[in-house]
Amino acid sequence: MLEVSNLSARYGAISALNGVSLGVDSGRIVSLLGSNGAGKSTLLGCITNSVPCRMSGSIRLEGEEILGLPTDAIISRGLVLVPEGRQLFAELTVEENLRMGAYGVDRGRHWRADLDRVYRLFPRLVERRRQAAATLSGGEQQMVAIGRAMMARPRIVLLDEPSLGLAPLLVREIFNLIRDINGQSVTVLLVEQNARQALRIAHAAYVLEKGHVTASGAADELARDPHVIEAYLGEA
Amino acid sequence: MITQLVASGLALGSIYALLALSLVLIHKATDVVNFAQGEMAMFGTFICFALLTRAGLPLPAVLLLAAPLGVALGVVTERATMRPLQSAPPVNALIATIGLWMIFHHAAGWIWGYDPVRFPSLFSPEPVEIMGARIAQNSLGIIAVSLLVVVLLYLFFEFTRMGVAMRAASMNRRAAQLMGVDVTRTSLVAWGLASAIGVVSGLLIAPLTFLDFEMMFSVLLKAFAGAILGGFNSLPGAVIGCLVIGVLENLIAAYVSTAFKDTFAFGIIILVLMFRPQGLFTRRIAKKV
Repeated sequence: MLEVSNLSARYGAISALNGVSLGVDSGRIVSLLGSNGAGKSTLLGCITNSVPCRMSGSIRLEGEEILGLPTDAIISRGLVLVPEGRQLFAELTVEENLRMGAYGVDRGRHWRADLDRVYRLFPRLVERRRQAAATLSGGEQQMVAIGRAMMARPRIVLLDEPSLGLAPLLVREIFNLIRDINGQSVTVLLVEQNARQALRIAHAAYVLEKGHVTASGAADELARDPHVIEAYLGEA
Repeated sequence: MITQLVASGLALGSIYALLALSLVLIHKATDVVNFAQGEMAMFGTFICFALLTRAGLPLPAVLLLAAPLGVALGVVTERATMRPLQSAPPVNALIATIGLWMIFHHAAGWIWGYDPVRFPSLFSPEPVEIMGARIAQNSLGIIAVSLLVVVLLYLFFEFTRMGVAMRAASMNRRAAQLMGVDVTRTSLVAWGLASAIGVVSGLLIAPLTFLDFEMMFSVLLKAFAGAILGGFNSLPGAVIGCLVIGVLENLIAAYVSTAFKDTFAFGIIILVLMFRPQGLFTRRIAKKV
């Protein structure tokens, strides 16, 4: 589905990614682990061409080269990013936020049906639909951010740290929701600091360190890898 | 007496409000304060005047052409001077607008001369009687035109695809980009709209003050004062702030001294920035993280 090969990226003189290659198979949840500054967000930014860095290499979406395409062209090919820190439109209502999610793909035809689909996925947002996004709790805001991405009818979603700053109970809920979304045949590339939860729901995973992929494999195998356990799972 | 003063103050305030709307529009869309806004309005008004006198077009035709002409002026300026600075820090673009101020200012003097010229009246000078007070048709006309601009802007931001995208981009540019909003387009549209509204304000003020390459300086100052009073990030706030400034200006000139007519605007800017920098009319939404 998504094939990144030998991708390098730099911000001016600073190199952020060094020959990164990874693949995400259709229908899978693939998780990308790594510490702060490893280049995870840059990688997602490069795939969506939404960061100001210089790129080389190749990014293929269903066999088609998308590296360097404008962001809206990438969205209309079915790839959407849910950015770190939710990035909602603070003063717009929940529903207006969701509608903005359809901006890149919709010319006013299907958004009502898509809205209903998102509300079915996140019933809690229905009662909040007329509220400004900034007044929602962290977990609800994350739901809006994911729901907004779903409005573009993506075939693959990139999620950047969806559990950041959420209470443990909500973290579990968000991960279960990601699994539900995947169940609706949406492929997921998940960047997470919470490696334990990420590996719990993922099929496969990659480890990114200082701009390089240093490990990859099936999620349950990586969860047993001593290096991964020490560096990302915190205990034996 | 007081009714007339308030009415003509509201008219004056409406002209400031139009220019303030231009300032706030560009600021919201691009984080840049366009110091050249007043000079661009003056330049556009001079082009209208040239169309009127040298090309001999009738006044209604010129008035219809004013808005598209303003759009063209804004779009060309944005492309030529702002686009190359797109990835530079906003302060670079801000300084560039001060350069634009000089360029438009002196280019206008150079092309059209340094002497004030009379601009034909847009409205009849005859006053009309409203609730026992005689109010100049001019004031009513100015208020009506400004109201029309405000209503059109409101419709644009609430109901058009581009307008909604611009609101979203002004709140969170990166997120808007991730939704597929082309942020270079929104910047261009903001400049075009702002410049068109500026030219309308120039056309409204020119018959009152004479057409002159210096004419927009005090208007820009008052527009700044009004926009800051309203919070500089709120379009309705800027309008209300400017109406307050317009009325105050008239009352101060009548009851205190005409010497303070312009300086009080500086006073308001300083007072607001000192005691209520977010402006009087911006509402704050309690934020939870």
